[in-house]
Amino acid sequence: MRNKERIRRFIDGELEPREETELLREAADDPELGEALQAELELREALRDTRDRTSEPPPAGFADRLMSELHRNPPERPPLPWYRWLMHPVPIRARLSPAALLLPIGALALVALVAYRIGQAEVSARPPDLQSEPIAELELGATVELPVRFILQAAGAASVAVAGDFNGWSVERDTLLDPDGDGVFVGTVRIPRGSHAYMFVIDGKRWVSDPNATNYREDGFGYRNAILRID
Amino acid sequence: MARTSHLDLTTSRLTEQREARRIEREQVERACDGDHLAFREIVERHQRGLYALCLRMVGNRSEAEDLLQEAFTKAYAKLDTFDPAYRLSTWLYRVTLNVCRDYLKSPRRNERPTEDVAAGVVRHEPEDRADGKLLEAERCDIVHEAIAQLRSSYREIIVLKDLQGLSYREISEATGVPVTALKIRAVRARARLRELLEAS
Repeated sequence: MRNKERIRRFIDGELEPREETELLREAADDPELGEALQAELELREALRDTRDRTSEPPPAGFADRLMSELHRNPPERPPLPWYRWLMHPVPIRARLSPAALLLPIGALALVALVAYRIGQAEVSARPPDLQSEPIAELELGATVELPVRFILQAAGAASVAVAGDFNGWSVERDTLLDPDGDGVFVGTVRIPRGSHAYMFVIDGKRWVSDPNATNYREDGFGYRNAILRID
Repeated sequence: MARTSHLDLTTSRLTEQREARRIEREQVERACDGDHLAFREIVERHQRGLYALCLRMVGNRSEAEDLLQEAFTKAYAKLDTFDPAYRLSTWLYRVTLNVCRDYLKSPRRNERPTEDVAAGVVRHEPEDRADGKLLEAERCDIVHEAIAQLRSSYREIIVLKDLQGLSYREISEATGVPVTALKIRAVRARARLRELLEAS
């Protein structure tokens, strides 16, 4: 049972690198374990192929048909339970003259000013050693970053960028170049060690998975992030 | 060796996620107040992932489209009950999964056969690669048929975990089954799937 759970954790990517190495070493020496692991890997490969082949969008115009149907035959909304009704926000419409609005705003501004002045008086009344002093910033050890080369064939594209968790998913920060105009975009990005998710962005708006990546993870919205591991 | 380990998120990515959740809450509120455009934005954002779920659960494209429409219609009717403490995608998964489960239990299921879902995406290739693609498509259809033979709880964990790529926590939120039980179920489901594939 222990080995079954370890294999499951391996397949699901839950093992630490040290644990993975240990499992693979044991599998090399233990034919039964090796066979079980191999069978799971083959199944995972088959499921990955199936996933790729069934990853398609709904038929064109689906959203239009759905919204037309909702407009023609709006479904009945069941009444909310009383405990939800109490918490459910309700839009409120009011008609107020400008003078009626200015009075409470002015009163609030006056209260805020008085509170600020009182606060300032308290701070200056404190002995100097209790006032906030700038704290010397500790300089942390720099994170090791390694250059990673990205390549994408995108004939006809005006621009290609790589966006991932290493650059805040920016579509502008790390752009690839096609110096000879053959549609092959290349670039190098410095990335810290660890696992990272990324995608390419073509012309600033079209997100595509890296076709040459070996690992992917669905992001739950129909897109697949490529996974890059830097040891 | 392939790896999908937990990622360390940068502060900017977390900020982006918080912002996305805030926009999502606003969209839901507007949709609840009758703003059709807001609901359409929700549909367009989630339709791809949910259609893939329906297709993988029932194996037939037209039925998958019908089920997806049913799921979104139910979501529209029950949007008031959505708890913004959770992700909207998880809640939509739960609604869609229930629609698929009802379909799979109903007599309606026997009226339409499963298609060769994978065969539909075989593209015309140069002659020296066509055989390889066909074999791959056939292999995928065999896998798909084997998945269709699994009991419903096993099929769900295979589809949600191995095909949709959800985490165990997300699956737990969508199905109400504890994470520990899901992990045990995954082991058993994969073992059963292997048996079916070896037999086919």
